Amino acid sequence: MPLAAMHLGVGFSSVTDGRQIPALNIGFALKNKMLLSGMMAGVATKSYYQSTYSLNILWQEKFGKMLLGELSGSLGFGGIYGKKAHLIVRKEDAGTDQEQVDTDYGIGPSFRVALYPFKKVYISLEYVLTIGSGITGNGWGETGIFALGMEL
Amino acid sequence: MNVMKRCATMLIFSIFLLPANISWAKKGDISISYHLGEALSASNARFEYKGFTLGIDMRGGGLYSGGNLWKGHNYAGAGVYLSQSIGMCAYIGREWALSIGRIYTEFWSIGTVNGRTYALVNLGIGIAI
Repeated sequence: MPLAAMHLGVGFSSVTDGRQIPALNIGFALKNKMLLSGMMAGVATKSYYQSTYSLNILWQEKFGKMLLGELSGSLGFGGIYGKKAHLIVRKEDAGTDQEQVDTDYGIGPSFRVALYPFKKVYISLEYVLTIGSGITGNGWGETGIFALGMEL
Repeated sequence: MNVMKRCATMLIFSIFLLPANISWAKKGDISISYHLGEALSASNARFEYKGFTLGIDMRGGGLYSGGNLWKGHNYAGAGVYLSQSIGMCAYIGREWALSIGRIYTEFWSIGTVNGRTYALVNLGIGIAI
């Protein structure tokens, strides 16, 4: 399938809500309005780490120009995968690190709204609302990113 | 509660997959609508006047307002969100109408507000004025 465009941005993810840690937004537009877009967010310290990835298949509509710039909206489906762990026992104490590990995954409807204040610069909100597995999400969660980026 | 959440999600999926042979609302309609959101709890009330939206998000506890652009029965909008702090908001949705008198059965919408994680998936019932 021919590639029409790609976008690359950096922003803040709901995964680290409360701690604004940069996350990556990357996507590929295919010619028949289809958009493949995703997010990578993560944090690691000596005592814990968390990595979350999302991937969405979206159908894009260009809505035209409004006061702040061109607006495009997309609806579709997506999924997330995440892994998180925290250190329970340090290797200084037990010879080897012991971690408690948990994974999150889910699928659900997704959407993206992107505003283009300049021709190739976008501000976007992209979310997937999932049902799936995970301790902190109670099986239900919303994972997304607010990003500033460029369309290449 | 999880069962309710899953039911809500399935309902959203079913609406999303509805065939496009129902009567769609269009630009220029004026409506007041009340939305049921995640877990079928009331989360959003919205007034739409010819492409301008003013709403209250009861989950996030804030007011939002923005301009809508329509393409067929789909619309997207961007604007501002005012809660304890001011932020941006963006939303996308589709609307459909049942032609029973002036009763207007209204849409599902989905949106979010930056700053805090508010992703709203709503099914709403409204009245066309």
